[in-house]
Amino acid sequence: MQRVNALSFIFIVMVVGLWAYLSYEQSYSPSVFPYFFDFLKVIGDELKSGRVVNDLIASAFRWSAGLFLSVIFGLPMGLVIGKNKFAQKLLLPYLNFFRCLSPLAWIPFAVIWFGIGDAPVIFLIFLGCVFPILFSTIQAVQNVPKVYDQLAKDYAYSESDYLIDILLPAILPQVVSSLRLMAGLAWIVLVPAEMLAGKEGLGFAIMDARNGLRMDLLVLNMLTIALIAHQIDILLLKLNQKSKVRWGFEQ
Amino acid sequence: MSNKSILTIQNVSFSYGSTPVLKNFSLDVKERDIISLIGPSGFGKTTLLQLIAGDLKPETGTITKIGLWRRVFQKSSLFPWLTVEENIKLGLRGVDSTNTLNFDTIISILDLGRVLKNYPRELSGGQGQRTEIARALIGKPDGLLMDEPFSSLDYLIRHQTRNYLTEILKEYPMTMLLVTHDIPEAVAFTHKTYLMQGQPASRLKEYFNDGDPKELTEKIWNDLEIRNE
Repeated sequence: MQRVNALSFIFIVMVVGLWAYLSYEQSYSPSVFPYFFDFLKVIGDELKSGRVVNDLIASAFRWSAGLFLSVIFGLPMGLVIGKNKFAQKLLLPYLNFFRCLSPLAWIPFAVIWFGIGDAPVIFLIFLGCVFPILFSTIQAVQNVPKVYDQLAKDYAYSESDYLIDILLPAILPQVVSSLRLMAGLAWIVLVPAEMLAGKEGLGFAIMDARNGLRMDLLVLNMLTIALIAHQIDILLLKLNQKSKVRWGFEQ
Repeated sequence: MSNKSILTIQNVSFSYGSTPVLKNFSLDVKERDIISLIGPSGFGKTTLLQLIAGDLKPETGTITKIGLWRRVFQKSSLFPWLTVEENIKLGLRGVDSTNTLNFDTIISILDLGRVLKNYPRELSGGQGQRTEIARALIGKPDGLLMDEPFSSLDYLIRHQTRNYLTEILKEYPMTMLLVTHDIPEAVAFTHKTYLMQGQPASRLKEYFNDGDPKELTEKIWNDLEIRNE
């Protein structure tokens, strides 16, 4: 992770200072330019009422469920397609076609099929994340050296042993990289998708704040998402340092 | 050496599409033979090893091998996510655990004690190749197939690795079939050399590696068909 150094610290102090100064001057309307002091106050209010925490919990649930479903679906499917020439011929043209489509284009279907609430949001996050994990798994499986298959035969690996002891470890570095990409992507999809949530959620709160012209609240919700997404990214980056993953980046 | 056949290849033919590689090819390997198979690139040496190992199926003919066979590959086949020790112990899979080589002995002969906890990416070329050899040998195979196992090593390390292997074979005699295009290596390291002849390969010329290595190398070199073309 890039640590905060003296230069970047000075930079952020200057930016916040400028924000505070412009807010003090009140040169712009608070509905266009959120005031720094309103922002500080809204942090206290939101923490006291517990609303931002509830929104965070609701979003975290949808984020994890969407991500989890895309891994549960995309990883095994990627393994099957990566190993099977017939499946590649049958499915790859269509999967390539659909992966170029923004998950947000599915919003009307998401509402018709799942209504309002958690389900359509999870569905949209799933659609946003399933293609990256699917395609990176297919590619990782195709890159597994042929000599591993020969070894598996020589050393009497059963099919399940081959999967657990050879194939999955061999593709793990690429899967972890893809997971990092997906984690970020899921937050990006979450904000517009949560307009289908009906209530709660950081994305919903952003829309709600916008509708009420509460720019101070909007900034708080934006920064909460950025902070959480960044912390998750740091955690996933730490996974890359594990010896079972690191080899993939050092070869 | 004994008279008992441990590997018999009879009239085997194989082609890649319309390109024949082996035609009615036969070879009989006796127990504890240490032999090398020589031929220029593209003469089907690796194909033959893949046929023996069962990666490929012969179009005609039969291959019979007795007992446990292991192989050492041309390129690194160590699992990069496992340590040296874990990679070597993979060689114990699918073998009778009461009839294996002693782990400590093999580690000591191949001088791998200091790197057991290391990962393959942290090894030198020679250490990596010795780890591959240890993995192949730990299960006490009856036969060892080696596909140009030293080709990626520089001259000194290649010589040193061969010496380690010679020491192992003294301690634990077994059958070995070495495929190489390096004539001096074949002559120096094995008891018998077979030169693959014909295109597609169909005949073998046999040399006993007990004379003057220089003369023998010259003789095989002169017999190489590719040189006469």
